[in-house]
Amino acid sequence: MTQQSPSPTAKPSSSWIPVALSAGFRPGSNIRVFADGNDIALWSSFSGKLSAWVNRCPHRGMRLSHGFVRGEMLACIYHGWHFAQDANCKYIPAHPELVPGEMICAQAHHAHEQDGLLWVSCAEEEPDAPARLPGFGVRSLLIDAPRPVLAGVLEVTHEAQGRWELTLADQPVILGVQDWPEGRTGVHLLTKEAVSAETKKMLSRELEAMRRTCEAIAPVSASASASVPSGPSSRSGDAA
Amino acid sequence: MINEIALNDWYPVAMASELKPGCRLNRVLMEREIQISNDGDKTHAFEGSRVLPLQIRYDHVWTSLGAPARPLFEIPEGEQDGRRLVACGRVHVRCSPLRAVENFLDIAHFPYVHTGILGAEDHPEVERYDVEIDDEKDEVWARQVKFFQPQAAKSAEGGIMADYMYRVPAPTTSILYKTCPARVGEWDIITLFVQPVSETTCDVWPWMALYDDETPFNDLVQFQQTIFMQDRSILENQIPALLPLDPKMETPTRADLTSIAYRRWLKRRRMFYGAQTIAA
Repeated sequence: MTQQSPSPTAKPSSSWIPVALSAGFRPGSNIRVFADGNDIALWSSFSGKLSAWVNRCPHRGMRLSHGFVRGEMLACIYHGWHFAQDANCKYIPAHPELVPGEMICAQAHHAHEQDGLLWVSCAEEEPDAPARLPGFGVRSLLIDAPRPVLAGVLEVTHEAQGRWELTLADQPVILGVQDWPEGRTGVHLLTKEAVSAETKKMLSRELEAMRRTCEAIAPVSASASASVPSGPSSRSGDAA
Repeated sequence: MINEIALNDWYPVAMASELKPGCRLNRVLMEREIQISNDGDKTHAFEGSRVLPLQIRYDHVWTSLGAPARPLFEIPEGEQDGRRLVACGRVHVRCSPLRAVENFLDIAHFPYVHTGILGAEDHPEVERYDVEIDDEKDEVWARQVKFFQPQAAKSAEGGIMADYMYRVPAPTTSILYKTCPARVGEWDIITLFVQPVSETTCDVWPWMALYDDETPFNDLVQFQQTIFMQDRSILENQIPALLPLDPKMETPTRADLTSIAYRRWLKRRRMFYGAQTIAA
């Protein structure tokens, strides 16, 4: 979607991370995703342009993934600051007459849509597009277990660029795999061919069974995700 | 890091109404466990076996982990006859105590966070207002604050231009003086008393002193709770969790003059508990 011609300085395409399924991500959507440990607001304008931004409003630090899409702009939910596709702030409601300076802007990563998946790259230069591997989205799940546990449970036949190929309930499928904080893993299930609603339902149940197996092996984040008041060590912490 | 400044201040830890004879309340103040107990005659505060200073004012119990450098601030208006005093209970928020206070000083978020109650999206403009750091009193003041509000208070009907004043008498306390719908010329008082549990978690104790004899107590508390629940969804999603005191970290505008003064005042007082002093 935002793909440009490959440049010689581009980093390997492995730096694209699958963060969501295209199916269901309608124009106007805005969700929180993670890529390379970065907290990201992934949103689509009314005309369908995809953007991935650092999940932090430059004004008062509010997560932009809580914001709302208005036309071609994303607005922060805290004070309604509007940011355009180029990430520049165009409207500050508290000062309707003011034209915001170009210094006031969100920070953009790279976003890309291909093969039924939405991809984000936090590389400086936009990487080459991932290799073609068409897929039809079934569903996404967040699993309370880290990637190696999933790799141990599933019989992956081929793996490249964050996509695992395997057989699930006799169906050849693709699993987009995305690391979340605190030892969690986001997975995005696609079939290699268009399948019936019945088959999708069955695959969805298989995926849930897989999640239960993984979470039984690794009850990691039961403690990690609990809200522990972070002490002084977080002082120089997490200004993404 | 708990610095001396933070240690030597007064903090709310309970409502006075919680102090039933024989009760023993366990609380956390700046990462330290303390107990409040009532022996039927008097109320005491302890950290282990150490006795802590204690006073009961504004319907709340106040204590300190250190030796308070100054007396608890005065709210003279809050002790006027005819006002209803409303302690709203406690709201636990996973945010810096300083972020909670700063949000309370902010009006520009009303149209988006308190839509249809304290603000409307078609009236988002913040007019110029006056801000002052009063060096003598060691307080921050904002005056001449005006804002359009669809339902300024539980007792308000229809939209009004509400007049506000803000006062920060201590780093973790904010007092709002607001147009009183029931009595022209008087101010309703809404305060936020904040108990720092850690640098990134706090308990907020809203307290009001209103001229309003009509609205049932539960409705007043419910109104305040609704507003604060909306604020909490913001406060728990600000990055970083600590309040950045380095001006380069965030981008304020003229509408944020109170917040700018508040941050500057914290820095000047060296109140760094709950603050981020170095740009990450």
